This record gives sequence, structure tokens and C-alpha cells, in this order.
Amino acid sequence: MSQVYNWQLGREMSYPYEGKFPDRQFAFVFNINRCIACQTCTMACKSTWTFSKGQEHMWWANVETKPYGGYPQSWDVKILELLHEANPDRQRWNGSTSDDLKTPYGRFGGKTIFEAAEKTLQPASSRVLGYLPSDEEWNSPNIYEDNPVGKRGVPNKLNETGAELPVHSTWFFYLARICNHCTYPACLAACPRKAIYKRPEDGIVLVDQRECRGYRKCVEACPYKKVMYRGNTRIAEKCVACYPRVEGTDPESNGQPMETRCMAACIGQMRLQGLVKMDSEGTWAEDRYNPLYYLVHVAKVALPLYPQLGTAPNGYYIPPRWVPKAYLRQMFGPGVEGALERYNNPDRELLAVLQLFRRSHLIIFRYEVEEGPMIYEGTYRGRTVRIYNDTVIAFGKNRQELFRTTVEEPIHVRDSKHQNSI
Amino acid sequence: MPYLDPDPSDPQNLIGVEVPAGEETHLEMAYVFAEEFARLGFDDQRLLHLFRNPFYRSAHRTFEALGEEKIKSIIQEVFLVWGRVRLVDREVAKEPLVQLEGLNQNGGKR
Repeated sequence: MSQVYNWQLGREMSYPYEGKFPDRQFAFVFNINRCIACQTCTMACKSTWTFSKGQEHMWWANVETKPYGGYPQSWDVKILELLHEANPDRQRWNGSTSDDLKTPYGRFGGKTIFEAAEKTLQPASSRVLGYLPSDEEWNSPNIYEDNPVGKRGVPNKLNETGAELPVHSTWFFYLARICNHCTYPACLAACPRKAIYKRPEDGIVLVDQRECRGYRKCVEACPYKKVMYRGNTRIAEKCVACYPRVEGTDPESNGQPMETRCMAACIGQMRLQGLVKMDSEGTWAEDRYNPLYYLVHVAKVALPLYPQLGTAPNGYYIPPRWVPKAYLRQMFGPGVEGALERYNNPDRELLAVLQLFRRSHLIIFRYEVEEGPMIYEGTYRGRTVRIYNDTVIAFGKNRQELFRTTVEEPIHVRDSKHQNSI
Repeated sequence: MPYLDPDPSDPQNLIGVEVPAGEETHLEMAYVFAEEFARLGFDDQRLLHLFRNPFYRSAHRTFEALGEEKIKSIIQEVFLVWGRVRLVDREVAKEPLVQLEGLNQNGGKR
């Protein structure tokens, strides 16, 4: 195996191929605090890409209820357990978070799915630690969310007392997921036919359907289980990141790079997608006023999903504020405390950048903040809050302005007819 | 894992397992949803509807746990801060900057 640098782990790691990095990388930030599991993203993707025969079980975009739910069922618990078995009690992070772009979350001392495979798998051609989910595990994409219960063996009839099922007093949150278009994709690493490739222009990971023979090594290897097997064509399929939109070749985009269908459909306005600059070593090149760069590397409120798996996923999440920290640390790594601290006490720039979410379907390449006067200062839940009449301006690929959003204190003017009435 | 016949001793089967949460969890959840959607421009009535609507399970769970009066007081507290502003979007006129060539009327490539 080659040695490649994984900045999310803060160290080099083993990978079956040499590192090759795109000029720009498809990436996204999801703000979990805003997700209400309306599943509009899920249906937007389904109705665009996976509505055909043989794709019934495929949900390239899905929203699952954590900690119980998962699509396929228990995908994260299973891969974490496999890693634990391969490297018992050593899957730990060392060091501390830092401002260094190469070690923002400290250093991961455990084994990735590639390194664990070197130690545990036979034959040597097995490159990635993984497992193949059973049919049952794929069958219930929304398992444990709003689960109506019918009597066993009685079809088409709900249990009349189903609404009175006990409600557990516990926490939960909604995890929206698509393919992470990883910097070191496990699906690509595992494919014996090299039928999976990563595009040099935008880092989108695609399956070449002419080359695929349906061995399902990619399905087994992807730790996020975002490659799916289609039985009637006998090949694997996965999220294509709506690449015609990202390229700007979709007729609707007028030649401008546009966000994917699942992003554009989000009514909770919790999704922001873009293309970030990469350097020659696979870390993000400095691009201070790209909103994704700002959220991940400057404000550090957005964190990768299970970075310890080692694929360097390009999906980042603003963690939910109410969930126990230990669970979040396992899911998003050691940056959780800092991310929550900053998100709970957002500064002026962070508040402005958060207004960029879903204001446009076009990809934002750069933003500017025009500062305005302070319009409110007070205490809220024991902390000082200041609100400014700032304007955030978004720019597109060709540096053209896309939109501007201003915080304003509304002025109500009484009409002349009712000037003296109260 | 068979869906219809779960094995209760299976450690990966989380059916009915309460994952412990702090007492403040529901309160924090309610504040988060109120703050986030107030910032998105929801008014107080629309926000209350979000909590009341059982379709939005997480928000509604806090409504069930804390009660309508508490949710109303949270909304009121949040609106004292975030309800005093509005967000105004100004979009730049959408004109095609690049004329695509080689596309037929249906958008497919010739």
C-alpha cells in the first residue's frame, strides 16, 4: 500500500493507491440543528435518480434517526465494531485540536479501515475492512422513525392502540446523508476492475457502469454504505452528486455551477454545498472567504462524519447541540467541544455565513460581509448577544454577485388614513 | 438481523433501549429548534405550529415533554432576541452568462 496524508487524522495512512487530488473538491456542510426529517431531500433525489425498476431499495440521499436508525440498519455500529475487533481499545485520538490545516483535530492513533485490513484480512487482495449488509438491513430505510405498528400477520391494518405506544424519554437527532465523495474512497480502493473513479475537475466519485461487473466489493468496502447493488442490471450504483448541475451543464443552471437536487430541495435550509480548492498534498488550499472553508477551517463548526474510518469524507456536519458529547465525539471526532462552543456563541461573521444556507441554488465560491450598525445588545440565556445590521454578499464562479442578504430592523409606518388611530 | 423477529440479546438491536440523556436535553432541543427557525424568519405562530405538529417528531417530542406553556415561554424568550430582525434577500437578476451550445429544446445533448 502507498502512504498518503489524511489531514482529518493528522497523519499519513496506508491506501492502496497513490494520492491524486482534484483541482476542486465537491464538499458540503449540513447543519443538524436545523433538520426536522421532512425527507424532502430524500424524495428529491429519489424522484430524480432512483425511480426505476431494480432501484426500489436505493436511497442515495436519506435521513436517519440517530442513535436508533440507520440505512442500512446499524451501518455505523457494525463498522465501528469491526474496527474495535481489529484493534481492541486502541481506536483513540491523541493530541489536541489546533489551527494547523494538517492537524486540525489532533492525531488519530487507531487503525483506519485500510490499515485494519492489512492486519486482519486474507487474502492479500482484500484491501478494505468492511461487510456486506443483508437484504433485511437495506429494507427499512427509515426504521425507527415514526414507526406505526400493525398486528403481526394482519396486512393493511394498523394497530388501533399504536398511537399509545410508550414514548422513550431520550435524545435523538436526524442525520441526513449522501455519498461523501471521499478524498480516499474505500469503494474505489476495493474495486478489482478499477471501475470506480474520482473526477479530477470536482472530485466526484462515479461508477463506470460499462466496467462494473457487480462483484459488490465496493458495497462491502464503503463504510458509509453509500454504494448500492442493483439486482436487475447486476451492477453497482451510487450518488452521482447531480454532476450535470455541479458542472453547470444542466439546462436549468444557465451555465453556472449549481447545487445538487437534495441541497436545493431542503426546506429546513440546513444544507450548503460547494467546490473547495485542494492543494497538491490533499489538504484544502487556503481560501479564506469560501463559505465551506470558513465553516470547516476558520470557525471550525463543521466536522467530518466518522473521520476515524480514514476515507477523508467531504461531508461536514454542524453537530446537534443537545446530544451527549461522548456520542458526538465518536461520530465527529475531537473537534466537537470547540464546534459546539463556537456555534452556541456565534460571532458576527459566523451569523452572516449561516445566512448563506439555501439563499440560492447556485454554488457560492466566495462571500463578503459588509458591516452595519449594531441594532441589539442584550442577554439571552445568560450570555451577551449582539445583533448587527450586516449584509452578506455571495459571489459565483465568475466572481459575479449572486445575492445579498441583510439583517434589518423592520420599520413599521402607519398609513396616513390611520395616522391618529390606535 | 431479522426485522420481524428481533433477538433481544443482540447488542446491535437497539429496539426499546433508552440511551441516557441529561435532564436538560428536551429543554436544549426546544431552544435549538426555536432559535434556528426564528433566525430563518418563522413568526411565533408558525413556530408554535412546528412544535404542535406531530409530524415533526423531534420538535413535537419536546412539546410533549415540556408542555405547551413552557414551549410558548421559550418561543417568547427567543423572539425577544431573534424576533426583532428580519432578513432581506436581494437576488441579482438571473441572466444566462454562458450560452450553452449543442443542447436541444428538451435539454438533452444532440
